[in-house]
Amino acid sequence: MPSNALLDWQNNRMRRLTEVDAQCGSTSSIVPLPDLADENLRGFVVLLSAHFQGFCRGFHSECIQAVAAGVPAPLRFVVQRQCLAAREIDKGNPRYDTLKADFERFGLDLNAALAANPVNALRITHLDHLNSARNYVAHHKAATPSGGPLALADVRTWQSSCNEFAGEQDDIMYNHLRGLLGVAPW
Amino acid sequence: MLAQKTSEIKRGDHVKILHTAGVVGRVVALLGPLGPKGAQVYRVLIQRKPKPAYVEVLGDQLETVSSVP
Repeated sequence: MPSNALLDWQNNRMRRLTEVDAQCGSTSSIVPLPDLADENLRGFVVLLSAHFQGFCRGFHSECIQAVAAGVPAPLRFVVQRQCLAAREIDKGNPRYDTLKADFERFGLDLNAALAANPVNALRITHLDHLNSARNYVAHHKAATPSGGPLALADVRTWQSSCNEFAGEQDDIMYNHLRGLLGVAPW
Repeated sequence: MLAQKTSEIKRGDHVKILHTAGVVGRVVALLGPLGPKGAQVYRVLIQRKPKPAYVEVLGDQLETVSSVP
């Protein structure tokens, strides 16, 4: 059973992103290419990064509540406070290092957990590319990180990797927290 | 400080966090059904020195109060 954060990602965030994707597709097929196509694509990059950050933050919050539910009432506040203190995903982009720092607070080795599926290495690389592109767009930098123009196909690939990575995170944390708590976390 | 339990906690409400040494704060966001069995999670801003802090708690940990001293 997926977490509520993953359900929100799949049923709300992905649906919204698919609509933005369709808008990008329609403007990028116009000849000559209007400036609006480039603006739409830039918007898609930032929205994808923002929605993935939103998912990661919500999912981390759900993990906190699952752990806090397993301790006596007087200690719940302590667990909730400590797990949230200086959480990196609250103020930083959803880079892999950020996710690793935040989720390893729950006592797992995220590298080792992700290594069980060889495809995850490529997903992490795509996440890195997405964050570089996001910074290029958000800070209006002169040159793209790849040296070439932003491409809709690349953003779609990154979205697909974010979606797969979200499902992978959900599985990993479910198994880890179930082992810790002795009950299903969600 | 008048306190009452309520099931209708809203953004902006001043609240006391139960099972703490009188920690009070203000609800700044409703995060959705991220708690056990889909319970609503609230983000609460706690005024404390040297700087304010946030905590995310469940509705059954909160009690609305008329104001935060």
